Amino acid sequence: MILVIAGATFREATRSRSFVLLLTLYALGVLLSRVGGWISGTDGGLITANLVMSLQSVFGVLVAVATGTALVHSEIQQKTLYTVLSRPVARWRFVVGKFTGLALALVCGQAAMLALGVLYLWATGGAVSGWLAVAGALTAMEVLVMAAVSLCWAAVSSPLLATVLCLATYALGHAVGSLPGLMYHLKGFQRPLCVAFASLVPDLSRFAYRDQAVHAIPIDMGDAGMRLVYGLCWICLLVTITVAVVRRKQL
Amino acid sequence: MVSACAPWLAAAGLLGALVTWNASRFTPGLLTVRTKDLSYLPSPELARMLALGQAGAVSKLEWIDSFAYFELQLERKNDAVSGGGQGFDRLYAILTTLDPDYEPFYQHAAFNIGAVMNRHDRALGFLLLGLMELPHATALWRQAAVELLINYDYEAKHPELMEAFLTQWADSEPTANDKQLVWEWSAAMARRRYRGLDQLPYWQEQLARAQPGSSTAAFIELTMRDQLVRFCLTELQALADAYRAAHPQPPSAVADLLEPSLLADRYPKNLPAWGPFTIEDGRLHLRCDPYGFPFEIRAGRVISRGHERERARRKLIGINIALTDLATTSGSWPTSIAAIAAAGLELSALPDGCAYVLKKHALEIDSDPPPRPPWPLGRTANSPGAAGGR
Repeated sequence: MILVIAGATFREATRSRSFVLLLTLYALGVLLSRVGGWISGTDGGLITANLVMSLQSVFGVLVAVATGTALVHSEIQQKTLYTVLSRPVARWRFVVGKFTGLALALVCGQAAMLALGVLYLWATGGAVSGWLAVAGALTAMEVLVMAAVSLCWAAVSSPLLATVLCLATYALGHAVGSLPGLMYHLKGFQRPLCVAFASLVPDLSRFAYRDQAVHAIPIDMGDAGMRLVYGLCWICLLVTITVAVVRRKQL
Repeated sequence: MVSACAPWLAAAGLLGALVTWNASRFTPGLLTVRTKDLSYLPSPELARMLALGQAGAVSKLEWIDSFAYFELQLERKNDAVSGGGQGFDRLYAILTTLDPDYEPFYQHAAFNIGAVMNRHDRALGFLLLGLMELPHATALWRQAAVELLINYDYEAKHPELMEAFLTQWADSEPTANDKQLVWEWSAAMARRRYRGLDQLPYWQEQLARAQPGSSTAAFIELTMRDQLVRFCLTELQALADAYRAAHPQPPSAVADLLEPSLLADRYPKNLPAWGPFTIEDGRLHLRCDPYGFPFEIRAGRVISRGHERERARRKLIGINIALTDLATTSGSWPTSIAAIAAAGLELSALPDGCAYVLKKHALEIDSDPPPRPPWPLGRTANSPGAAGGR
């Protein structure tokens, strides 16, 4: 049953306007990224690569947030949720199926973005190396974590509020990565308090290998694997929380 | 129908108007110099936090945005920003923190802070920071070496430290050819003190790329020999003038110019590479000229027979053109050198050992071969002792 729900969600997500529109905007952004290289007065290859990889992350997260927050809410609004839940389907299966379908759609979207970006870099003489694929995979994991975050926030709030909270989580998730460098500003109880709050947020900077990949700086595969495991752990936690909330929800 | 199309027509009209309005900003006559203030820049740590995981892209966009500030400072030369500190220092501290692997940041920092704002200590600091991040960046090594050489006069004040720096640079270069380039760079910087030889490294590189025996290689060798002989003549003439000032008579032979006191005055540190001297068996000797002929002194002037022959050979081109014109107007080709002179064509005097010969319809110079082999001009021959015969 999970696979059936996942398949339906995958089709729904890939056909949604926001998904297609954001992918189109990404393609437009990639095309325009070369302008940055031209203005820079250098050969521009590295700058274009930086922009292309960042666009994959930013648009990937936007797709995840736009699709993830609307996922359950649209089911409720269109009353299709009741058709599904009237069958002997446990709510956890419904949530897991929904997330699996969404994750599948996002991974396909990320693969398409990466392929388009790398192809564009290759065509324009930009910096292309195999490490971009590793960076793309880590960015895809970042997007999946954000999808789980959006699903979780959507379960406890309205879609609009969930979108705002998701974007705030994204900002915080990257900010906590720089926190160790700023700890010397804090004194006394501020430090443990700050560390405690920061530890509650997924550290998205772990997935930001793209800058090094652009310079073709190798990453240890064991390290990359640990980063993926870290992302999977957060996804499991967030989906579990979502299941717990949805199970108690009065629909 | 009209009411259905009306919104689209209105939208198209508005779009056209707005596009024109936007495009009007790009009219060349209306473009203004954009000024920029960097007071808003946060600390590097905070900038990394605010970049939200897109440090590489943000740093490049901020860098491009700061070009206007650079243009402004070319005029103003005061980059103090509110909140204390210097704008360029703050900018490049952020950029190098956000993307420490991007080489142009360090190069621009050194240029803007060093050459524009004249704070060479900070410029050198950024270059050394760059070398810590990118130890194989040849351009940064070269720029740092230039800073040390030009602005800190390291060669004169701390030659051992300069040598250590160059050794470190050579060690960081991955290939033997790149290591060789370090020493060639060093030699080129040293040669800058000797006018006329600045282009020599360039021609050496061209010669290394040219097919041996090709017309290109021949042209390059001629160019290099010409530069070298001019340099040698300048140096020997300076020694001859110094000799004349120190003695009642002018030097009778070029060997007189090897007087130790004269050489010590002219070259207090060491003899110039590619100069007219060589050391063999522990003794200083005068080299032949780059063409293989000995230098001579005539009436107090130092001359190179090889150089004079080369000049005569070059003049020959003009003489042959005049000869063709002569044959065209008279309707027949002269059959001998005497006939050419009789027809009014002026033939310049040739150096000793040379004579004009008429071969078919072209004038050529017949000359005896040089007594010694010409200087070798390859890369390995740039030490005074390695090149040419005496």
